[in-house]
Amino acid sequence: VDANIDQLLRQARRAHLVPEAEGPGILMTRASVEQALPHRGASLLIDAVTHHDAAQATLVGRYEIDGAALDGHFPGSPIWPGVMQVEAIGQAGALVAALAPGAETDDGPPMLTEIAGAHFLHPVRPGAPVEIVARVYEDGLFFLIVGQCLQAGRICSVAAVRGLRGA
Amino acid sequence: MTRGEIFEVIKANIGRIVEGAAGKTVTEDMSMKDVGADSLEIVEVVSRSMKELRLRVPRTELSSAKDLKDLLDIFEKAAAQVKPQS
Repeated sequence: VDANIDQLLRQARRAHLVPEAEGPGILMTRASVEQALPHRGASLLIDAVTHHDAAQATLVGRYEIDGAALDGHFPGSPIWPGVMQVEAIGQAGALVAALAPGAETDDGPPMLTEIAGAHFLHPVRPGAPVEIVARVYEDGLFFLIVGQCLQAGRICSVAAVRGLRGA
Repeated sequence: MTRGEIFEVIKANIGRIVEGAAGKTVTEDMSMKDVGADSLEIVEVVSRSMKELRLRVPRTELSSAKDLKDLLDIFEKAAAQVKPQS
């Protein structure tokens, strides 16, 4: 998988990872997400899940940008920080891993170990929800998350993050 | 698959993955920390070795390994449980 990360990121810059990313239904609420991830409060960056395909290891989450994350970033021109976008993609991927068949037998929540790459194509601003898309690839004891942050269907950022199950 | 063959795979991955370990002598009574591996390099060596050897071992079992001898014991046991392909 390592050799393909650049290629996966380039592909993700050009095309939606999940074609039905704008699906209308709510599959998981924030309360349901909290049962699968340890994040709470302002640190939880997924308000709802609108798509999950266990066979394809894909998930789409929705998030309304929290005002606290925009404080001072930047006065008069609010932009959701890129590091938050990468974290959101990591959380969406961790959610895929947590929801995978057999995950219940793992010995702890997934832990992120590496940001393999991130590209920021357009600023993400408050006013419209962010769609957080993740596809997960198995890689031995690790997993690789390739994800996107979309706003109004536009690919604003892509990131590749590695993690470890049950760290 | 013999214990020696398993150890050769592990040693090759230590040389490839652990910064500065290439060419160093690695013996069963050593831990990967002895050759300078950090926590992620250790997991990377174990993960790649398992893939090459086509072994599946739960992380809970792997975490009990204190040195390379323990890791070899775990891999040797897992290899013995792999059914030969007909």
